[in-house]
Amino acid sequence: MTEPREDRLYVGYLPLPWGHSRFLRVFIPCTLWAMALLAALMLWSMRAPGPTLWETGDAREWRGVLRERPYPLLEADDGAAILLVELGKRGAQQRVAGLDGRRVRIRGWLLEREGRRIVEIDEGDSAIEVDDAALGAHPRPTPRSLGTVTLRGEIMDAKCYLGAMRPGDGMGHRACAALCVGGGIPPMLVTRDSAGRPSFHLVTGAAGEPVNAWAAAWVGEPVEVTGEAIDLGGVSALRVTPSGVRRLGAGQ
Amino acid sequence: MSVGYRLVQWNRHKRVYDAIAIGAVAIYVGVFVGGGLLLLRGDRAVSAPILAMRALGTCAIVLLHIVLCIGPLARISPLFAPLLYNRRHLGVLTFLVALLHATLAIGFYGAFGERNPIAAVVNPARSAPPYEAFGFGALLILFVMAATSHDFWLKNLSPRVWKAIHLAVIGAYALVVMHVAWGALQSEASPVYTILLLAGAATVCGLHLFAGWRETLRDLRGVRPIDGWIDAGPADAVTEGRAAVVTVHNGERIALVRHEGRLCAMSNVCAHQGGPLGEGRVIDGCLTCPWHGYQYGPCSGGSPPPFTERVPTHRVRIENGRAKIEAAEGGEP
Repeated sequence: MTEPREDRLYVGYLPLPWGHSRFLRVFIPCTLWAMALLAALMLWSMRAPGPTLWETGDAREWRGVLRERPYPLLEADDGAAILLVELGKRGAQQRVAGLDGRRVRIRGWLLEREGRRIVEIDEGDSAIEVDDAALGAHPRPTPRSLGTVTLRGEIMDAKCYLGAMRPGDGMGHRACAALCVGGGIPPMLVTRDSAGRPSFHLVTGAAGEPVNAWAAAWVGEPVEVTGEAIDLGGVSALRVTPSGVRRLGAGQ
Repeated sequence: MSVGYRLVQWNRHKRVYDAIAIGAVAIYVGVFVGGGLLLLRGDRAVSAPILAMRALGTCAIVLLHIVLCIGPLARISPLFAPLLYNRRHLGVLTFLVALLHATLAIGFYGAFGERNPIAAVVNPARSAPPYEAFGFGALLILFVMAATSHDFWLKNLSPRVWKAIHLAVIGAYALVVMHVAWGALQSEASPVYTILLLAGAATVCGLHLFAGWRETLRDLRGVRPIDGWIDAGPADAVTEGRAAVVTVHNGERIALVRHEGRLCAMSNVCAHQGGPLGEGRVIDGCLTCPWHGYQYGPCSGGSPPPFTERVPTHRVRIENGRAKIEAAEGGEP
């Protein structure tokens, strides 16, 4: 049926002309299907955040020797080096102040990725207890220099990357990483070899001091870092000055 | 149209339009979030708030593309006119979806820290391109557009100012492209996102250029007045109850309309949002704009009481079977 030409004009408050109705009955379902397919395509194209663990439920305990610098860390009795952070986006510097070299029991939740571990300390004074049976300071292992190296990777906030967020890296996560690192979470350079195996390096200043203030400006994007590689005893670190960090383009 | 202001002048078409638009958002976000929670497991699993953030962000971008395509599509084919009719609601919905995306980003990435969450996300104190600020800027533009979308503002700001404000959607779109290009595209490995962004930009730009090219061609064919009168062609070419657009060489357009056997002429530009009156027709004795149904007396140029809108009229005379329109406005029709 062909409508008279004058009836084809669409006016919003009048009945829909037949030609428009016929068109919209095809166009609208096609648009809705296209949107659903587009959503599925974008979803399926997202990169995988990788293997991470974030324990939930009841907090559990770890024992070991506590180190304050460069970033709070527990030399656990099982030989593992475990970074320590607070709930939220804050480092644990204030919580562990004065406990450097002391044996402690720490209660919290484990986050882990590809062998690197970090514990989110529970709230309350009882979450960190000095082990009375072993009072006395334990000597800090002597940092061992491995020479000057140049590495390419991304400076992460250790907590999100190791499991607090999926994904916890990349440009989309940059503001969060800057907030975390600025708030005291250890900055960590993550590099990957040709087989995709990761290496984790805590980023410190030239004298081994924490560098949260300026490292926050470099998170979330590919960088090249030149500095002195240090073995802190179970933990690798890079002693770097801001001039030793160079921004790379995406994909480099 | 209305002499007063109501929040929304609801009618059946607007209800159906809004229901479909909200349904489209629900389908898109549902597929994205539901599919993500069900199918992305193990190493591929994504945190639920990030999944929702991405679903809403990409949905807002898809909606913005649709909003930007409706205008040129309606210029190319009148079949798209129903999409144009309630486009403002689609624009407001786009803003609301983008606002939810931003709220999640600020609440998840910017909260639980030492700084103000909005400042932490919008200004993370870095020297690299602030893609988050680009997104925030786009959101502010969409907010201004959504807040001034009501006819109250159209009337009180004047159509010219209102339209200028709403042309800022181009700036919002540019900021969204920058937000994605310096944000997600920097860390997503799949080329799908780059291809989709380029395809979207090509579609939006292509449609606008094509529609603009057609309009330009029309302007170039404009008639030059002779002794102050424009030759609008054979008088009987405009049939009863119908109108035609006459383009003057300077780009001005005049609607020539036949009503009750008489030819009358008025500006082609609707006083509401600049719709092309000459592409409308006479309904209930009034020339009716094809965009939003605003009506004008075919020979008086005035809206029927109690409405007060008015468009300039032109005198018309028939000479040797041809319609002649006086170039100057305001004469007796």
